[in-house]
Amino acid sequence: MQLEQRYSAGDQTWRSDRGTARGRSFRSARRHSRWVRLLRYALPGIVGVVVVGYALFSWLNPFAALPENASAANMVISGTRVTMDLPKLAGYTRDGRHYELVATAATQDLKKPSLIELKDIRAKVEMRNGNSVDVRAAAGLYDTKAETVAMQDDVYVVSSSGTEIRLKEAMIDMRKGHVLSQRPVEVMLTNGRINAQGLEVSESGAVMNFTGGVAVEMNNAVPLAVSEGAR
Amino acid sequence: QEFNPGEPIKITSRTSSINETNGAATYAGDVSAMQGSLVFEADKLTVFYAGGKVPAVGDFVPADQVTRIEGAGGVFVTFNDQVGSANAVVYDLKAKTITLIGNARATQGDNVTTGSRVMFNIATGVTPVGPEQRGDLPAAVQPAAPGVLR
Repeated sequence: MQLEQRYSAGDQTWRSDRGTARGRSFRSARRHSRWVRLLRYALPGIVGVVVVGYALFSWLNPFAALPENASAANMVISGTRVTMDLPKLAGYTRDGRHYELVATAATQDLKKPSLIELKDIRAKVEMRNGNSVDVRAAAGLYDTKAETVAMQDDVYVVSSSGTEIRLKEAMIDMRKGHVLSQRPVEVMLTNGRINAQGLEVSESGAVMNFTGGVAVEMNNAVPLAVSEGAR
Repeated sequence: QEFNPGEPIKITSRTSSINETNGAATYAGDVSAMQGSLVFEADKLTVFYAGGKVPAVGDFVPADQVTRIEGAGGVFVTFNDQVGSANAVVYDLKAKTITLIGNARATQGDNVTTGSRVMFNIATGVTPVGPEQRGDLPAAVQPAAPGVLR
């Protein structure tokens, strides 16, 4: 049976024909029209998303140690909704890495106190190797009970190492160190790029599964001896 | 023409998984990988890095090179007018060799080489090296897969 599948990853589409006798067609047109890439290394930034979860968790969870300074411009109460303007927070993650987080607003509905809506999140988190990661998201819903943070509307993670990650959404489960995104993801590496329709990060970053059609490109150029120092 | 293993490598697949613990990135589901005019197709492809360690998420590790790619399941390899097929393939970028494993078959023009293992050496131009049997099959018997030949 001639099986023809059409997958699209991001904006490009490619076609793979499976010949009946497991033969495959090698139309050079398909090759030219197809844009394919190879990953060189994993998503240094994605852990930023996980760590920010920790930061939020330790800040907003009354049982966790309060970071040394948390402040907000002012507090507005309307009905059962309490809104803090320009909440700002700095502190250390559980494994001792500094983080800073600001949002334009943090709103809690006293009827559902475990849910906190955050607007325009910007966080900076130090990484184990001295790099830092900036995370931005237009909106986020932090569930203190479930210990999850759902970041929506263009989550953008950039690491000082030069890696950038763009997600449409990121569901962070802080307890499990798990991040899930079921919408297009793009990872820009200093020497490569990954596009996929979905991403799942588990074991707090050790395993990353890209799903739904993946296209990876990596510049695998053999480093010239002279550039050895430049690594 | 001269082949440069340093060229960018591009892969598409249905899914991909990067596992820091075993230091490999696997691609599954109609996988196709290209490096210059070298093309691999397989059901599954595993990519290994120098130092056998996929840099951990969060820790930026200077870009390591891909040292080895293993493919399994309906493997097809093409390089210019060379076509290879087998159950599995190992592409050793350092040694610049492509080894077809398991009812391996390599075709260049009228010249067909088959065996349980057929090895290509990219450095010296892709020519079958160390096949178990080698025979020039009469044209009639040649693979009729449409479009496989140029």
